[in-house]
Amino acid sequence: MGSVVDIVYNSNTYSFDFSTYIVTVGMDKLLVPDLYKALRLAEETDTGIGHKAIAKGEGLAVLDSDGSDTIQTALTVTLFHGWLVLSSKTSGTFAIKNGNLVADPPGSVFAENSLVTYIGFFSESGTIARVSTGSAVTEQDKIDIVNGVWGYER
Amino acid sequence: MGIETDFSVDLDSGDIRHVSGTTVYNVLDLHLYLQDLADDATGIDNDNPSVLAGKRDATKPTVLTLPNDGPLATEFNIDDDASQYINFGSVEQKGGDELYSGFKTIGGIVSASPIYVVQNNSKLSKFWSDGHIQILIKAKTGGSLIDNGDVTAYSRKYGQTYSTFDVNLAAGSETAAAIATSIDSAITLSLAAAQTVFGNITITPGAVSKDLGNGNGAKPYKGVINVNGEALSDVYQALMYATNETSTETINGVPGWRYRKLDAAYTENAAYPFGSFAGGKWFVAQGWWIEGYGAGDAQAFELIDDNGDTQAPPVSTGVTIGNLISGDRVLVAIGSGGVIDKTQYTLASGNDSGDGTIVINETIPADTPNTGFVRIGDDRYEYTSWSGSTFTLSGTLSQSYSSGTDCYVPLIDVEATSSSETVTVTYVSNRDLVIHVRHGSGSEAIVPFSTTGTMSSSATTINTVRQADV
Repeated sequence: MGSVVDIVYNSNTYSFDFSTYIVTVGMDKLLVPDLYKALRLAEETDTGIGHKAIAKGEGLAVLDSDGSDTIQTALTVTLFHGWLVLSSKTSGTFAIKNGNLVADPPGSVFAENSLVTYIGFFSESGTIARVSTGSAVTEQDKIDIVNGVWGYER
Repeated sequence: MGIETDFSVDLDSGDIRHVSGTTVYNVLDLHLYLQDLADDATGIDNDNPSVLAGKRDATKPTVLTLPNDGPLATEFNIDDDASQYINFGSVEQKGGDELYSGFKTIGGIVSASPIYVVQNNSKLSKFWSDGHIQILIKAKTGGSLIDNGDVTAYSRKYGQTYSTFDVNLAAGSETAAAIATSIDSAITLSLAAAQTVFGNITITPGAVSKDLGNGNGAKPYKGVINVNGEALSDVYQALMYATNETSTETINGVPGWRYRKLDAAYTENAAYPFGSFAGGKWFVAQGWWIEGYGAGDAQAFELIDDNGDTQAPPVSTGVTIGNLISGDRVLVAIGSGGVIDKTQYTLASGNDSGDGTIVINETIPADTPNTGFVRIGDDRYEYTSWSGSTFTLSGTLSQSYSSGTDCYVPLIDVEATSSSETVTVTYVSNRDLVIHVRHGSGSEAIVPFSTTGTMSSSATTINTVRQADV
């Protein structure tokens, strides 16, 4: 009962509040793919099903030509309807990794926590040097990949 | 050959009798004949045998008096037999104590539709041919009107629509009854077959309260027809049989041939005493509740309760969400523009923690699932039944809620266990829907499927679009 849904994924707890549209996390590094999995699980709960979808995910396009699927573009998660991420940390840094996190409509993706410094890291999959060697990757792809990687610091 | 041959007149006794022939003469003819006799040498010394009201006018019914107050006190009179050969007017005699009043039927009828006349609850013996009639009916005898002068004309030939018309003959002259008949295309059974069907149904007059399940609640009726599985189209015909002219059945204590309606206060359906049958539907006459029909006839009738309100059986409709796999989370709710209407209802006061019910301020509409979930914001309570404004829960409220708090009831709110999920409800009106289907984990994970739809009077199916998630 209630508006808060706790989802545990990869040993981390994601607390989705469907009344405030804030997902609270406590880890130092938030992995975008894990967040995406967690929010999908939240969406299908008894509470979540009564609300619109939290986000959409795009990316993970295969870049290498051998079809091994080991090189992909980063996952971009677009939060809808004003959903925000709130770190419950009380000090230090909070990093977003392995993907991009954006809002639609455009705006901040973080709920206010003045005790924490937010840092965005380039996606590991999107910044691997092998991108430049991929025969199927055009020059424009390379530009898009780099530009598409989210970076945010405050 | 003429009236002088067909009728005899005894100027001494006053008896006027029909003695031969089949010709029917009008009242004015009789008067002319009597006056012609009266001025003969043999009649000139007798009392005047007839007195005409007003001037002679062959275009209007004649009002004739056969006096008994002449110098010789001769009581001129016709008898019942003679009256059968006279029409177009009335004949009053015996000092006003006896009246044969003119009666005719008019209107559009099937050729040679048989007509019978009921007086004082009895059929008059027919002395007329089928088709429209113009006759004299004894309306007064011994100084008293027979049933206040009332008679009723009927035409009830099985296979045709029926017709009934009440008139009062007390005023004399001639009174017309409007009769209309036509071929009844809903009659396909032979009279014998319809009689057999009638033998299989049970008619039980008496006040009852019945709920058709159409959301209007229990309503009063004045009788029950249990059709015992007979097709309603056949039952209709059986009841037309039971009310035809030759019927020997009894309905609500009344011979079928003069059964007209279940309650004196009701508006009669003269053409169809038990209601009409058209377009595959029986429009049952007021006051009758029907039961015992097959599933195929669930929509094939319409009732009128004792209050005069039409009661249509509930129309089943529903929604099916298809292309599901086990584990899909499905929600179908009323809403518009893709937004769930979470303000569908408001809570009444007194919905407190521990209660086993949820009471709302509104009447729960008939298109609410029999079981399901009430959602108060993000709180979700399973209900096992509902009635009026109250949902009965399988558990209890986990907290107290303020009066006026919004809540809603999804049509479907489940985790799928098969390839489809269906809800069946009673149709009330078209409902705009919001549909969510989600499956967020595992190899079957899909991009959340959200769409809109409309639940109309016929069931609708919406198939899930399963787009693999990234």
